[in-house]
Amino acid sequence: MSEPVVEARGLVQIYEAGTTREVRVLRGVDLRVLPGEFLSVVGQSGSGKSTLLNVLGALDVPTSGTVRIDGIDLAGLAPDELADVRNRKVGFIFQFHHLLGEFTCLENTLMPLFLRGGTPSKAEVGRVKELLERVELSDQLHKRPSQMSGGQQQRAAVVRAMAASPRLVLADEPTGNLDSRSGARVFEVLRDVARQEGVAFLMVTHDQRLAGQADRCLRMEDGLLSETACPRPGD
Amino acid sequence: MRFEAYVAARYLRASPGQTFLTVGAVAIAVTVVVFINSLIGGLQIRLLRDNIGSLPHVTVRPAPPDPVPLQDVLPAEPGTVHTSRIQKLSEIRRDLENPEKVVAQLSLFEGVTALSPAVRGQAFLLRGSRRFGVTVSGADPPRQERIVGLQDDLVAGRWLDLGPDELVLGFRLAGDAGVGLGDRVRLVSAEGVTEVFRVAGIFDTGSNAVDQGQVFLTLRAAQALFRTGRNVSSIQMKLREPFQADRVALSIRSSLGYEVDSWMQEQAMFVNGFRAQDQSRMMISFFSLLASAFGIASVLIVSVVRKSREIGILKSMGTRDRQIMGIFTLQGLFVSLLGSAVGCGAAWLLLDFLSGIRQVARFGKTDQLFPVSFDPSLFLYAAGAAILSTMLASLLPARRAASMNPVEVLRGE
Repeated sequence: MSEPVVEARGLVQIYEAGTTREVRVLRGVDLRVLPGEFLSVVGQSGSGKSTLLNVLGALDVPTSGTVRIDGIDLAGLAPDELADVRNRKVGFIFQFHHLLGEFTCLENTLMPLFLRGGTPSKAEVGRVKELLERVELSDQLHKRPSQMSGGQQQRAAVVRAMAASPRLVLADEPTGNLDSRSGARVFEVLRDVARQEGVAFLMVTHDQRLAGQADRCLRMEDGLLSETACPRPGD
Repeated sequence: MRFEAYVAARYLRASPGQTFLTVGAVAIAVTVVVFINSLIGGLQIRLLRDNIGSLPHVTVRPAPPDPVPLQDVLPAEPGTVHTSRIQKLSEIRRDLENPEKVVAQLSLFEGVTALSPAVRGQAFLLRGSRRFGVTVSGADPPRQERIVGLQDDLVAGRWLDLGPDELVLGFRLAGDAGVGLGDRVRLVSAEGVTEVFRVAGIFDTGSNAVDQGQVFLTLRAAQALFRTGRNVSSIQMKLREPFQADRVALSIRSSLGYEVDSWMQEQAMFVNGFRAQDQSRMMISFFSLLASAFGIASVLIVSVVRKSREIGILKSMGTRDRQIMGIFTLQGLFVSLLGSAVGCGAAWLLLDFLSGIRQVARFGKTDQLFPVSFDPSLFLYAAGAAILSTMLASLLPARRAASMNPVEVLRGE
């Protein structure tokens, strides 16, 4: 059996601890995600889904519990080391695509490679261009985000998340800001790319139809994560 | 650093209006600093030249003899007690012996550029029945020239090849006495010696005191007029830095024991005014740079707030805090480099234009209306100060950007 890409144990996240405004967002989350697995996480707003993604993606530090990404224990890592984990092991996709407005589509997708300090190699650029071709953005390479549609921008965000060959991609409502047709197209791209690249995929969504297409479905409720039956068409 | 430079340059290019304003702020500050310093510097050089150009920076005289107490002079008799009050001796003429030896000693002091043994004394200039009290300064003209710089102030005749029976005098004195080139005048010294001299040159130093009350002779002629033999009354010194005169004077006094005067003591009011000017230009420079730095800091802070979403996404991609900081400090660096270059260019053009404006001076001469001091190092200093202040100003917004919590920024969406 292969090693899990993500292994989280007893994750607790408390904000404003010890004050009257204390909020317990995660109450002891355990999770294992294997390479190539495609998981969906559903749950009501405020149930802790986004916090879970932030903690798993080394953007946020849990109050207690451990997270291992591709065998690396995040506990005790320095900020620069956490940044390195985010760059090399994790890709993020956000609801509002968050492309950088000053850069072209190609530059945005190469950004995770570029911030390593040097010009991306020809092979890396070639791979990114191939991904852009797969998501049908070959003709948008030199366009600014403002010149692209919402669906095109989100597909570019998918390619950017994959550009540095991460082991884990975390997507927070990746289709939430798109119409159903564009959303379905983006989801298709996500799933295909994840499978072809062997990347573990954790997607937070409110869309029951998209959640149902995952390999495994998880439900977040009051800070606790539980496995649930994936909703199937007609549910 | 390539990533930071790449992003910083793109941010600047993407907001041309903001970039123009910030570069303009630095450029104006640099222009003001260079312009004010060049103009005031030029004015100060002219002031220095006009006020002390014809004066020695330091004058060395023999030390006054110490008064001798009465009991040291009178024979000691048993039962007799002498009491005495020591008071300053009345002014008597004192001369420096072996002046070339003293010159050799003084030449060893730091910053000395010229030395001239001189005989100075009071005399009357007689022309017919009219008499004028004058200060006579006798020295070897080429050596004296390095102290007083009379050649440039000469409006008629000659000075450097002055003969032993010739003198040069100021145009005011010449006018008062009604003498011109080639005319003969008599000098009567306090020692009672009378000599006849022919007027070989007339000068205009710009200083009324010199132009109206001083005549220059050769050293030999003055030694004869004041009966000093081969001695001189003082050694006049010129320094590389006029404002080091007090320090050099103190050093000579303490190490050689001579009586030493510096122009700074004699012209204390002028020195105070000069220093006030210096402080004014420093204040203007400081506040110009401060205003520019505040402007840039505020623009960059707004930029950081506007770009908080981008900063969050860059952090989520693995950008390190110091890289984020680098992006914003490099923006400050690019702005300051460009602004400094533009500011230096503008200042150069402005100074070049102003320095070309001439005004009519006396005796048919013209001089600059704005006596601009073109000092290339000033451009470097102004640019350096602007770059430093801009970099410091960009640190605050850069730190703010670097410390942004990506989770909070992205949650804010």
